[in-house]
Amino acid sequence: MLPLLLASLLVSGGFEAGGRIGVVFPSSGLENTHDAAALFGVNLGYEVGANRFTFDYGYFGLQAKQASPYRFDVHGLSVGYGREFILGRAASRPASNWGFEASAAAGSGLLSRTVGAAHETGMAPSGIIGAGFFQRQGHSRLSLGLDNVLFIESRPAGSARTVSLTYLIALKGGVTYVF
Amino acid sequence: MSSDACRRLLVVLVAGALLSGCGDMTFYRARSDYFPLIPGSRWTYDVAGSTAIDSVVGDSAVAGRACVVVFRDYAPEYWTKQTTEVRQFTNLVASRGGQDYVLEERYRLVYALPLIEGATWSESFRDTIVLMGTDTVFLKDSLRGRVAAIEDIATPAGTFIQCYRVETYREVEAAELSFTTDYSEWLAPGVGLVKRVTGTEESVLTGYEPGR
Repeated sequence: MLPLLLASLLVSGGFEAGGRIGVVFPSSGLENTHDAAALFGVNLGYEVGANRFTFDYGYFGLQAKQASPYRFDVHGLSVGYGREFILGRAASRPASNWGFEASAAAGSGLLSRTVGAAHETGMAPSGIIGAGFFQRQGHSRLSLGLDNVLFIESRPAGSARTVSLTYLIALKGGVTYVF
Repeated sequence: MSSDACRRLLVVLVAGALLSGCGDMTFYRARSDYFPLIPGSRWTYDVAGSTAIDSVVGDSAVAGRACVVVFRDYAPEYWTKQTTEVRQFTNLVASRGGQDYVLEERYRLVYALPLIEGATWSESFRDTIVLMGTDTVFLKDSLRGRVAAIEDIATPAGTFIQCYRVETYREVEAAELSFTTDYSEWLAPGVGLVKRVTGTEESVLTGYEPGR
């Protein structure tokens, strides 16, 4: 049953590849010492109708608010699901439409804090809830949206457990080629 | 959203939640304040069997610079903190012929921020002061600091995770005021100093009240 389902998905769907740029705004106390940073990312995806499944890589490097050799690099990998809601269709071009997209993803951040020759590395799982607008025309898909990124960390502290949630907001614009 | 889409969203979120046990607190350290100078904060330490109390009193200005007044065991200290460093006001005074002479009066570097394991910093201040017209004093005040480790520390006030152990060596050469000191400090996120070891003397946190 499952192979049949997968085969039907592959026949009815299509692959896509794209990239995005944006700005990440730190929050959760991180904004006291870190500035907003540019975001770069690439993604591979597969879409079936209004459903999109994506594998995503993104990078941003936060810097200190004052002149300093400090950097906080975050490399994120995630798998996600997005659902498109078509709001408009160009009458003259049947392959053109636009609408709203909601998405969710889970992944992991590879983290690196450096100052001079000293550096710390780590990992943190993340959850991403996104929303935005898209516009499709032929093979191209343009998008503009906002991602709510939550990094989740936890560790035992004596008999209790410390859970740390770090929230970042990302404004992003992307272009994707749909094969 | 269709029920199918909702189910997929739920699967993604559950997968994220299952992964949540794996973090190693890098973000936690990055956003934590390891040297909070919030007015009203109060630290109680056990220092070799006796009690010492530190408290943040409020803002002031010393030597033409805005600072935070900290009472360390009821003696005032003046601190400044920026994104990249923490400095303490130092005032070395020598007496000659019943008169006081200022040898050093400045904010000296104590910690370079942000704290990152392996980070080092140093500062050296030199000056020459002539006392009573003939007595020349050569002053040297140097400090080296290093973040040696990230450790969890258990104290009578509780267990503090993700503490930075900072090792500091300070050498002051100033006639009869010369001294060297070598100590290790453990700074906890959101709390500050929780333990300090100088030679054989140990000071540990027994109580902490955060300020507002």
